Amino acid sequence: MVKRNSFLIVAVLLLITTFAFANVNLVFWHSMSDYQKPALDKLVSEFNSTHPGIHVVAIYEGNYDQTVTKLKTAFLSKNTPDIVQLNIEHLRIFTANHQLLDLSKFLSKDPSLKSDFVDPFWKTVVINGKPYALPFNISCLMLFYNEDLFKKAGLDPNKAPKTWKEMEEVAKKLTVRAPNGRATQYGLFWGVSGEDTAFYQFEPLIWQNGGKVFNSSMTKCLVDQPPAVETLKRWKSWFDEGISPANMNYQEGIQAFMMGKIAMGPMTSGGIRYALDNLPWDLGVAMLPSHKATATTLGGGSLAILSNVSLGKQKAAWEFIKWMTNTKNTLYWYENTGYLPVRKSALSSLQIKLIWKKFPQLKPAVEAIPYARPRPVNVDIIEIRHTLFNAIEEVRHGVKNPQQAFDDAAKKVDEILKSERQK
Amino acid sequence: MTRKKNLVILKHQKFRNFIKGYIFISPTALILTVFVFFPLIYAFVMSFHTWNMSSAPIYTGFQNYVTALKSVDFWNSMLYTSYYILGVLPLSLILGLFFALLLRDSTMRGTSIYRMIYFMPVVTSPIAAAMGFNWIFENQMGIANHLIEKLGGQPVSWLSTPTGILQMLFNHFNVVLPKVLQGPSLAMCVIISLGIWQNIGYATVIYLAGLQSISDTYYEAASLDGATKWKKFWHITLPLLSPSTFFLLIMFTIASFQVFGPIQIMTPAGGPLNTTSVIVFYLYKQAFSYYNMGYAMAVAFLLMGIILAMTIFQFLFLERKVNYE
Repeated sequence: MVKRNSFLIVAVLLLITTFAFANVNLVFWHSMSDYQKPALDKLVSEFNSTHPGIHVVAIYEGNYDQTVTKLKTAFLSKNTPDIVQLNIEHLRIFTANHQLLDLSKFLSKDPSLKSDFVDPFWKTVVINGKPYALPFNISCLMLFYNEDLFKKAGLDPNKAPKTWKEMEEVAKKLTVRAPNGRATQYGLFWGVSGEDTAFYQFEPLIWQNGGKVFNSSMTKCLVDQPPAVETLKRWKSWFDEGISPANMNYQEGIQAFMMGKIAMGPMTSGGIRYALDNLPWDLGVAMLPSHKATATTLGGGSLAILSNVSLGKQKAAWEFIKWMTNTKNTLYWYENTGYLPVRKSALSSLQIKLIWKKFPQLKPAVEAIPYARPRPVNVDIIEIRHTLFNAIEEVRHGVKNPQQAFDDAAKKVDEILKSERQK
Repeated sequence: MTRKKNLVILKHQKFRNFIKGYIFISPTALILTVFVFFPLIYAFVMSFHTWNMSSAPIYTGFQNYVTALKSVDFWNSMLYTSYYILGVLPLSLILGLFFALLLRDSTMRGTSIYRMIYFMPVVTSPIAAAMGFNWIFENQMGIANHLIEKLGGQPVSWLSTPTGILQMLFNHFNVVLPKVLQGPSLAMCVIISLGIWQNIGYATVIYLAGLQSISDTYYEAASLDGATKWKKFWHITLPLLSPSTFFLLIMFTIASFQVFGPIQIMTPAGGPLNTTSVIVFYLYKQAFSYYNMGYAMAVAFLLMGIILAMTIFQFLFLERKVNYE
């Protein structure tokens, strides 16, 4: 009898322990490809080894836009992941239909956590007063330049242009022409990517000129106003004057830059480490030049938990996203990619000074934070950005004049904004 | 009594045969229903709705169709599609026939190797082929520009020049053509050349089969009458190949209307000024980048209507010219 009882007790205990330490499997979708992926995978595997009972599987799902598409279809087929890395400007696409978990309940238990996130970064994840994600890989647009070409042109490689005017002058000096007049090296390429970050590079130029892309309630597109149109004219003049290559798309521009055929261009801070490791010449990184205002744009992604995740998994998922953004890991991520540290404690830490000593080019991005503005968001943001991108391309190829192109684009975007409100 | 019983048995047997038939076709029918008919009907219903895949669909009647037919972008992409078809069709057929005539003689040494070489592009994945072409026509590191520069020319921005090729010719005379006549952009021409490259092998194989079925007696009779080689080709080979030509024409038209893979790979943003944004690319963007699902489905049904109309036209007016032996 006693034997049988003890057997029962052991069995029950075993059952309890297996339940208590049962593995919580979490599926984590992300958009970190080539050079960022190894750093991310390393973080995830470290999390798995230090957190028995939780197992996170990280799956690459294509770029930010593709992740949105996949997540939308996953919701339709009821086959969603638990945690997802979303571009900060895509969060609203999913909060509009209550598909992301409101993190308030976890944050209220951890009051000091919220205040440790860098304020402008935190703002990007708060929608209608509620936080729906934790900022993870935030970047800002920086001016990348080729120090070797600066030296060759007799310029000081430690002095990047501070204003538009300076930038134009420097770019002229950096443009090299063959005897037949054809440029073999361009001073500047303010390229705008036509794909998932359409318009990302152009927005700060409008801000620097004192303009805005949208009104504050996101009901009207303001690119037909003078500040934006002037910006577009100025941007076009860089191609007309021959300091920028007219017939090169963004990818080709990047390639030309890497090959040392373009001297300057705006690029995301998330690529600094990759550039440092792979470029055969010395890279300089500086704040974007200012005009009427100093501004750069915040981009990048955040980590969100889906609202249909079961309660037990929610806790584990929260544990994961909190861990991924903690001071130590955000610094590791910063050092290995160039994405900004998201915690104030990381910005004031001693380690960050060591990182700067190793990679001085990583420092300007942190100094740019006070001037970095989050990008406006909307449910239909992808279509809107493509519309605006098409407008500036029409100007670049001389099909429309700046006023006409932005008038047409503003009208189209206003229509998209209007139909979105009606939905 | 027995008659009645026989009748019952007969009925029973008939019924059993009836059921048997359905059981035999059921696997295929089931697969088709799930993967073809249901999505088709669902898409048709959705084409009358506004739907972004997340919120509930809203019924909007024919609005999507009206918007599409009024949209400049829609008609532009139809224009680019026409450029593609007009570029790909004739050259695929002519070059296909050319290689078929060269490879006709199976006693020639190495015929089978050449046949394989010409058929290779057909079995190459369009994605892999597009990546290969991308590498050739790359602005900075492409082999095409490398050769041009070696020969002393200026490098060309193959995939990022939006100007139509006909317009380029007329640029020398300072004439601006209307948009429809400007012709495909250089980027589109690169994609057209890829399309031709992939089609030739298929056309060659079909033409080879067609050539083999032409009886030698026709040629012998023509030789006795003193016909030249060219006359034999024009009056015997070409007319008797017309069933093959007709078949290829219809297949290539339908396939060209639906070209997508190479464009997505070579010009992922739709090309310079969207000049490679053909109709399927346009509807893909609307559906999976902008999430205007209902609208995209309406465009898909418009496309289906156009392809159907084209095919009926080809059958009604071109088939008359086909010579069946």
